[in-house]
Amino acid sequence: MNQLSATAISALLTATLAALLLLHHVLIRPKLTGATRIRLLLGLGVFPAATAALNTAEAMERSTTRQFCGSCHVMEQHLRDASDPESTSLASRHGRSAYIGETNCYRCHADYDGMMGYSLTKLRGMRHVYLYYFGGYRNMPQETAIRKIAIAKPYPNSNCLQCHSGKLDSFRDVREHTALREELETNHVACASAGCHGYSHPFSKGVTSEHATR
Amino acid sequence: MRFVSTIVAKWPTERALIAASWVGLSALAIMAASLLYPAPILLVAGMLVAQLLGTVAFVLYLLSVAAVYRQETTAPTSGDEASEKPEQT
Repeated sequence: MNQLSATAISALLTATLAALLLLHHVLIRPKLTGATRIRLLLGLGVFPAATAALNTAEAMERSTTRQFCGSCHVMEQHLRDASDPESTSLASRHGRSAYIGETNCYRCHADYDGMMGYSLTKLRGMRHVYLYYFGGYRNMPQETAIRKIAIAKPYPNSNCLQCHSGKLDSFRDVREHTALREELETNHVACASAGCHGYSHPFSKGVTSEHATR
Repeated sequence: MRFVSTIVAKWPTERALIAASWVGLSALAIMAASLLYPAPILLVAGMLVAQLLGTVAFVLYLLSVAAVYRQETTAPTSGDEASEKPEQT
């Protein structure tokens, strides 16, 4: 059991209140007077609605954490590397950032499609849950998973530019950035590649994290 | 609307409310489990299955209240019964 946030505690509190009211009705079976109707309105309507809202907020927040992403065993190696303070891989270095920290999987893999980006990212995450439980990943050995499971579509450089501005002099002054500008914009050259900033998850490419030192 | 009226007319209020309570308790249990043990499948169950069950429980409650309200409004009142009795002199 993880440490509970204020949202989770509030959700558990409203769930407990609703459960007490419902248990009272199931065990005592009172007559359907006005007071019973109000108690049931609270137990079946108001408190469960509050629990559902708080539970959704908490679940959405929790599902952005590295621990959550790594809770499927096929992601264990990614989790281990991304949490390793000694690793020089891009994933781990981003995990050590004060701004990104525990949410480094989500921050880099989220879709930033305007207003709907957050919801779409969560919806696409459902595909991962489906594939894990019903698509055969659950019983897949880790060694096989590392070879077989790959990112669904090429990683877009625009995701890197959400934080690393391509408009600053510090970016433009790098010769490679200027020379490869078109290739970078069209994703023909990846920021997270061996010749540039190194792989995000080098072990999945069969190389050590030493490549990620720029 | 007539469909709802037909359902409400034959609605087993007491049993429906007990069923609603059990369904509601199941929904709350799933939500509590997803808060305490946030595994991916439980989180999804907490946001989908539990909310669906919670909605079903609330609909059962609403139908029961509607059925009771209907019984109360259609049943003859004590005043009506009195007026039907033959006047005794």
